[in-house]
Amino acid sequence: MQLQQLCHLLEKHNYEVAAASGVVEALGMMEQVSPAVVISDIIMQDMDGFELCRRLKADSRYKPIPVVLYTVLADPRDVLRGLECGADNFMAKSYGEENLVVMIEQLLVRKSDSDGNIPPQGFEITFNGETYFITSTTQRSIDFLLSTYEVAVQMNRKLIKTQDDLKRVNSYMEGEVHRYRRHLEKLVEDRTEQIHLLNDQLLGLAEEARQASRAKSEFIANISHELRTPLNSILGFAQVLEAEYYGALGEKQKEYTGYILEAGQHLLSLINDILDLSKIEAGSMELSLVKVDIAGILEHAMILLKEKATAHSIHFRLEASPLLPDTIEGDERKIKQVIFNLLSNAFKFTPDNGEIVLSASVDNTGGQVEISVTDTGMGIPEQYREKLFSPFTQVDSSKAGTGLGLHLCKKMVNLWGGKIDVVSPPEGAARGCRFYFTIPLPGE
Amino acid sequence: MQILFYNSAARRIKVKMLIVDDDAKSITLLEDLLRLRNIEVLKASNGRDALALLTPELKCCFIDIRLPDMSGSVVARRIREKYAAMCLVAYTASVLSNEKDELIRSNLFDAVLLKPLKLEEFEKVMTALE
Repeated sequence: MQLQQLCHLLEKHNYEVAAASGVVEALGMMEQVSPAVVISDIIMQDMDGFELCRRLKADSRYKPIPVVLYTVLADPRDVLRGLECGADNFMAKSYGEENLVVMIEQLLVRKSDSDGNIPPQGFEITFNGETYFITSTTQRSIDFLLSTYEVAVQMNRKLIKTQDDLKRVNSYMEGEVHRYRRHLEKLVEDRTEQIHLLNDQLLGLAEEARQASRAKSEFIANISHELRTPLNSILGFAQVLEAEYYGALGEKQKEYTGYILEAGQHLLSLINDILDLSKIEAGSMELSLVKVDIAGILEHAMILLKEKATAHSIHFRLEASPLLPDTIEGDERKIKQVIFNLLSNAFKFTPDNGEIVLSASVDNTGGQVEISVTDTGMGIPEQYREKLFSPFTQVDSSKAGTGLGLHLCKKMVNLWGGKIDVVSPPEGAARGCRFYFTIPLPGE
Repeated sequence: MQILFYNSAARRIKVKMLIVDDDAKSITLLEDLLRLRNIEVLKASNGRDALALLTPELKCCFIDIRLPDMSGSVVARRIREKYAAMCLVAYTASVLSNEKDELIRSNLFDAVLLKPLKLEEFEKVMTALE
């Protein structure tokens, strides 16, 4: 490749170039080509450039032709070998194009000057324990040494330039690194500032939310109070009438008093459910955790509803697993509320002579308690499953109910991280449904 | 079903009780239930009137909490300062858990009757008073 490059370069400057890839080939071409200058690499396949030069200079036909050794000039012994073989010039492989042409021009001029020069006198030089016999003319020797010096100077210049370049690159890189670091620092500063700003905004929002929540709680308390006050008259006087403290009621009067009580009770449940719901929505409903005796709650529920079950000939059973813990950590009021809600639904939908089973068990891993209410009612049609726990969804709107009960149950069960769902019909049954919810137990 | 006091003490000196409430019908309900028990009833529709009606022979006061001029708790505290032994019953529609907690923490009342009133609750409180 270097050979080709060199050829191109010389041809570009209007020199005719003949190339050979070895000493033997070059010698064979000499007569035919009759070159004005020989440029030779030092390391070649068959022999080295010094040998080529020696042979050319030993041949009287070619002796006047200037020989340029093309080298990297890494070893001072090459200089001595060059002198010894009678080479005219060194040319660095790193030579610039311009220098190369100038040098060749000079060589051609000098060749014509020194043609038919004085016969050479020889002398010996010892360097590093080796002796070199130099036969070149003084003129040629000095030319040659000057050329090596020039190569060295060129290389030095190049080195200095490279060092300068390196310095520039280095300072550029330093600048870049510095800029980049500044950029990063700025980014971090900006982000930190943004985070502070966001934080302030969040604190502001949190305070606003707290105030809104307080206002909402206050509003809820007021509404609750204002609704209960007239209900106190409605339900209170209806109870007094029903108790017949002021004389016996007629058939219709009894019936209507019953309706007033029923409707009033319904209104009261609605108010309670809506209040619970708004408390959950306002985020002000919290769990008040205590040690809860689950079996106790279930037995209490059985006692409370026994009369109702008997009245409708409903077979009402309790199945509590003996593995149930004595107490669990939970919100007693809310657990009761969910159980009563599910039971009250079961009683609403179970026909006379049906069956309702209240059961509680611990799962295999001991990770949670599951409480379920199974009935033999109409069951939950597929299309209602999904919306069952949404507010104001009722499968049968003819039954009394606020449409909020299951929604509230879900909200409460979610508060303690449990699950609530329905299976309809229950496993292994033809009709009815099984509602269940879970209470996670703390890990060991 | 008529509920009356048949013991001799009740016949000799009529038991007197006070009801404070700004809702007239809430007073009437409780008033009639008390009269059925042969109890004499004093009534007030605000805190100031209630405090003016205080006499040592009052056995019990039923006090609404949200009164127009002052809180029922304040009325109760004033009564307690004068008559430490008088029986005080909160008669209130403030049933939210935090409101109830406040009533219980204040330790001013011997019993709480929630509105809407349940007759059985009323009976329980009356039994406890006797």
